[in-house]
Amino acid sequence: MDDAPRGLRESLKRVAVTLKEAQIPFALGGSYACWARGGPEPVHDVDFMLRETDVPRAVDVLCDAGLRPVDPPEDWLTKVYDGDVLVDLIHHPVGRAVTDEMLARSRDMSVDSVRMPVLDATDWFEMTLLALDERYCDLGRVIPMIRAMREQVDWTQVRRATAESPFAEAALLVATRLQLIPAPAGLSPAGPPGPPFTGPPFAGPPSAGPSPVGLPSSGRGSAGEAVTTPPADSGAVTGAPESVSAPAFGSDSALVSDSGLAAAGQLDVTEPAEYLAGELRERLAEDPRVAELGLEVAVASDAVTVRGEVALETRRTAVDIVLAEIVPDRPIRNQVTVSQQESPPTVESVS
Amino acid sequence: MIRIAAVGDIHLGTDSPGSFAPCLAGIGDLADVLLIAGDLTQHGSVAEAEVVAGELAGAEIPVIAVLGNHDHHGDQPDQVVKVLAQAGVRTLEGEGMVLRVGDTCLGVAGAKGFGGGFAGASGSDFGEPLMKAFVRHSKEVSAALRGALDALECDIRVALTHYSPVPDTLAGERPEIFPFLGSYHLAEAVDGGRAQLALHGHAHGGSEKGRTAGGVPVRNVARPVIGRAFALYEVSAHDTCSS
Repeated sequence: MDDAPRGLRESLKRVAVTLKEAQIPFALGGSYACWARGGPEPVHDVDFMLRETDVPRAVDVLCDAGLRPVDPPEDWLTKVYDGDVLVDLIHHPVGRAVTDEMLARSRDMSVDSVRMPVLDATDWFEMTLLALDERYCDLGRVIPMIRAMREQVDWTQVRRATAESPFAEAALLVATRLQLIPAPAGLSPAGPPGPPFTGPPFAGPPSAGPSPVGLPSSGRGSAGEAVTTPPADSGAVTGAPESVSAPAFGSDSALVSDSGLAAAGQLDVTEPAEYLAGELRERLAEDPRVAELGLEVAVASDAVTVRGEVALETRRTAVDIVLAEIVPDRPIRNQVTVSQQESPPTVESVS
Repeated sequence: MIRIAAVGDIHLGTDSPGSFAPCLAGIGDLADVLLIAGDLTQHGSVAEAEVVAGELAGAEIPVIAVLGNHDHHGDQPDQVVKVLAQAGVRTLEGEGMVLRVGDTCLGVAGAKGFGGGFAGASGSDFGEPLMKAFVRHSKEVSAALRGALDALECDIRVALTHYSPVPDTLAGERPEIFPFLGSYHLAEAVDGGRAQLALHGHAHGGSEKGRTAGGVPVRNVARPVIGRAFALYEVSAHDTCSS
């Protein structure tokens, strides 16, 4: 078991050094790029990304270095063997050409003590998620990789680039619901590419100021890597288990507005919906205008729903007033009822 | 036989004058005593207590109450009790009082009670000071209830609390919050103190009827639960006062 990765790593380093010495631009890709960035160690093969025009020269220098070329039927890569270890030289991952820009986005990292360019984490996830299909859609492999690399990825860009793939959408939904990655901020995860992305992908805690998490990588090509804040979930409830709202597919179900932040003042409305629901419930209990501990609050993308019973109509209407002060951008669905006080019709004998 | 009217969680505020008094019109024809199971006010302020006093002042029968957690929110429960007393409302905390109705003596022992949970899912007097204080408060108020029941010289003993002695009457609330709604120590006091009926409130989403392990009927009279201004119970004595 231990020998296989060691052999793979030796081959990886041999190929990388050979390409470097020949000054052929490349980036480490595939699962070893994920490993280099903190993911699980692969056990199968080694992938390098090259421009298609550089592949013949790369094969030449690798053969000179003692590797054995194979001409596979696939038209998007070629292969070389280093002993028993298969090395893929990929020029069209998921049908998209490896470009100068992509290689420029890669970052020099030390991989098992050899420095080499490693594919950008955002590019890496675009490829990995777009490679999922009906026969290869094991999220059990993908989720640990998301967990390992999530802070290095511009997830808004990944969402935009993989929007057409239902498998990518499913993986991102799972990761979002597990709160591994932020919910889409202002963009539909399932729709066509949205409007130009201009702002930071998500807002941070209000106390941290206008640029709370450093500089999120809002565009491509920078060496910077996105820094994520806690993700926003798409639907949650406190008070009643039966009213947990599931996110609607294909809608902006997980949209959590950050524009209400200033108006809310104290409450971070960008936090996960279940926490927001919990805090709204506490506010309704603590605010003297309502002061009702038993209300249920459910936060969904389209509205904040409140259910329960209060003693007076004025307290029922106060629910709207209090919530509008905290989350002014959210429609309020006030389903609170007022207790009835008609005369007692029945007498029970208890002894 | 004694006729008991009972309600909890009326939650009157300064916005409530005139909302509860009309419900009590003619209550003297229906009941011998009105027991209120806590949360008379919204925030435990003196102004709210004055509203409550005003609404209860016209009751034609004795009114006995315990405070609830809302009545403690203003951190001035003594003033709340005092304002209520001016309207003739007797508030019990670890105390009892006896009323003679005809030839029957009704004893009511009252305490706010507290959370802590129920057998198998309860907090322990262990760990951080706050946790120990939480559980100890529950034990102390339960012990006070037991003491008050034991001290009653009467024909019918009724235990009046805000928090629930049993989980039965919480059915409808989320089980996760049961430890905030009551404590089995209260049920121990109810059983040990030979109460014939236990009344409580607090759990708006619960259900009316339950029973302690010792077989004492328990009724959740929180107004949202009973859906009326008050519930009515007839309790018969096993034997009558000798004095």
